[in-house]
Order: sequence, then structure tokens, then C-alpha cells
Amino acid sequence: MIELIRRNRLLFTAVGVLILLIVVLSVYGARPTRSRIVDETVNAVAYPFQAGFTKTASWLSGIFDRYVFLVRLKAENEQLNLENQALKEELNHYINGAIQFDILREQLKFKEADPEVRVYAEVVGESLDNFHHALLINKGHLAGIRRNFPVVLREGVVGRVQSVTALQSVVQLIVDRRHRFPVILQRSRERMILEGGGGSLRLKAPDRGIVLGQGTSLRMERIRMLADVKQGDRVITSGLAGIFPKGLLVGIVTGVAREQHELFQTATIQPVVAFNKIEGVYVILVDKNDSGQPFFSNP
Amino acid sequence: MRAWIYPAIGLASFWLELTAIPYLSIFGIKPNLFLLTVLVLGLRWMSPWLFVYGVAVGIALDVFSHGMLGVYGISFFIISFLAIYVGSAIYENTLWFTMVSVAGLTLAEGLISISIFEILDSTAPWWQWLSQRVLPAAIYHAVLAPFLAWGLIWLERLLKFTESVRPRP
Repeated sequence: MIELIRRNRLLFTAVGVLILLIVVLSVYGARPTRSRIVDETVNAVAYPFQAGFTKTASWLSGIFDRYVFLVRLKAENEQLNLENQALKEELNHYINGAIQFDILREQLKFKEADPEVRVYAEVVGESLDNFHHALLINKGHLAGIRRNFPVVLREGVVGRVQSVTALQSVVQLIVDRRHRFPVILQRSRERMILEGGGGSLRLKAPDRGIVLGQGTSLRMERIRMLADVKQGDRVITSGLAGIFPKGLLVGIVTGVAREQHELFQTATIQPVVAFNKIEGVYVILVDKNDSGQPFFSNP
Repeated sequence: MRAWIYPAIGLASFWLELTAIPYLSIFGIKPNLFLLTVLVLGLRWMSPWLFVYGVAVGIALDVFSHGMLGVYGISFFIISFLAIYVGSAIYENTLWFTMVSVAGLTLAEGLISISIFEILDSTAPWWQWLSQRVLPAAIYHAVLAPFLAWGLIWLERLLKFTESVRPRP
């Protein structure tokens, strides 16, 4: 037996490793929250290289931007001067508007309250495979970030924190097919569930409608015929799942299709965030409607 | 085969994955340099270190994509076996062999990984992923593989590798 094992050492080792991997997958795959130790180890090993790589790349890019691409600078300068003059005029117009706005706001005693604590993080990488949609950001535990914290931009919702290590986190984008959260139509208050759909989004209506996104747009499918959905409707977070605060913009309905013979209607949604152009994101640490504890966090 | 070459190639791949590969995305399909290196190294070299390399980069890919540990670990491990087997059974130092075998093995790896994803989550769009992600990636890898193979041959000459290396022109 020992001789057999010795002769087929490679085969036995391979089978052993394979069994070990299957055990790891069955233990951690079903409950990703348990994989933190391995996650953190891989991240800790990769972080110095990754940080170095990112800095080197930005340094090289800076050299190209500052020195190599100077050839077109003169023409660009003239163009910018023209734009500058136009913008000055426009700015003057806006300053007047802003003064009027301030006066009106004071008169109405409108108080702008935004107690959300946000951490800005730079995007340093993206999902390495073609099936999932995730971003790697350069802030982690030490910045107060925890799992499932919402990630946003001024434009709208970006995603949630999938995993955290001390110095960096992985953000699962809302277009990832594993993502699912409740939303409402801002105008008609129709409630729906939004779920990712492999490069796109899927929306489930209250009444079991599903929205599928395709590429950079989204598509709502199986929305009940009586649901009030119109072109231009804004889709916002409902705040019901405990991950995203209420009222964050997700996308805008760009078209609704109703077929006589169908039981459901279909709508196309344009997401407000350009997911392929994100350079930095905000992670919300405290919900404005919350007592201070973040949503559904598993620290 | 000198074992240190694998971490070196792994780090270089990681660097390129972070810096250059996102710019090579065509219609949302990025080449997977980790997989490409496993395949080309498996086809060309016959080192047992490839299994360690395959599992390591597979787990790194798991961490930096979906967070479910083991999916790519298993698929890369199996595919490193297949790559070595294909390399030892029918190796030819030709462009077509490299392209066709890399495309086929990418397809096989894709089938394994998306099947595991489907086992873990029955709603995973298996057919959509196969047709819209795996197949284009296989073609993309087939185009890139000869460049990687040439790079590897250059490396062999530079470092004077002889053991376990298949004949070169």
C-alpha cells in the first residue's frame, strides 16, 4: 500500500488537495462571512504588492500626462481659455442664483441636515473575473468600514461592502447578479426588489415583477399590468432591507413596454452611476435615520 | 524547474491584472492572466509546482472577485492537471496548437467554474455565462496565448531552463 502511494505520490497528493479544496468550498462557500481569515491573509499578502503596483502605475501615468503628452498643450490651452471665459459668465449667473437661493432658504428656515458619516475611498482594482462585478477600495477596518455598509456616489447607489480587511475592502456592485435589495418608484411609490443580473440589474416588482439589466441599462420584467410605471420615473432605494438608507437614486425608467397578450409589462431602466468610470466612492458609516449602528453589519 | 519562477510569474500577473488588463477589456470581457499563465505554463512545462501555483492564483481570484473561497481554487487545480496532460500527450510547438489548446482549456475551466457557481447558487445564469462570458474569453485567450508562449520561451532562453521543458525551436 505504502509502495503504491509512493509510486503514485503525485496522484494521491492531487486527490488530497482536491478534497481539501472541496471541503473549503463547502464550508466557506455557503457562508462567505466565515472566510474572513483566508480573505484577510490573502489580502494582507497581496496588499503591499498591490499598493506598490497601484502607486507605480499612477506615477508612470503621471509622467506620461505631465511630460510626454505636452505636445498638444498649446492648442488645448487656447481651447481652455475660451471655455474659461464662457464658464465665468455662467458662474456669474449661478452666483446670482445661489444668493437668491440662500435668501429664500433662510426665509423658509430650511435646515439642511446630513448626519451621515461617509468615508471616501479610492478604487484600486476591480473584479478579476468576468462573471462578477466588484471593486477593490483602499479603505478597510481601520477607517471604520464593516461588511454590508452601503457604498454610494453623489449620483446614486454603487453597491455594498462584500468583505473587509484592515486596509482595503471589496465592494459588490448593484449590477452584480448576487445583489438584491428593495426599491420604490419615486413617483408612484410602487415597491420592488432589485437584484443584479450578470452585468446588469433585475428588478422584482411587489407583485413579483422582475427587472433585468443588460450592460449599462436595466430592464424590469414581469411587472404587474396595473403597476403605475412610466418613462422618466426615478427608481430609489426604499430603506426596507436595512442596507441602504431610504431615498438614494438607483436609476431612471427609460421605456415601458406593454403587450396585449402578455400578463406583465416590461420597463427599461438607465442606472445613474457609470460603473465602468468609478474612481472613488463614499462608504456610509452611519445611517441618518439610525441610532448610530450601521445597517446589518457583521463585524 | 526552479520553483521561484512561479511566485515571480504570479506577482507579475497580479501586477498586470491590476494595471494593464482592465484596459484590454473588449465588450466587458477581460483576459484572465492568471488562467492564461496556468494554461501556458502547463502546456509548456511539466512541473508539479504548477498545481500549487494554480491553487494559489485560483484562491486569490476567489478573494478578489466573488469572495466564495474554493471555486477557482478547484477549477484552476483541475485545469492545471488537464493542461499538463494535454501538453504531455499532444504537445506541438506550433501557433495553432497553442491557440486551440488554450481556447479549449479556457472553455473547460469556464465550464467547471460556472458549474460550481450553479451548484452553490441555482439561479446562476449558466448558459448566459457560457455563451456571453466563457466563449468570448476563450477566443480572447487563444489570441493572447501565443504572445505569452513566446514570452515564456524567451524566459527559458534567458534563464537557461532545460529540465522539464518541452522542446523548443
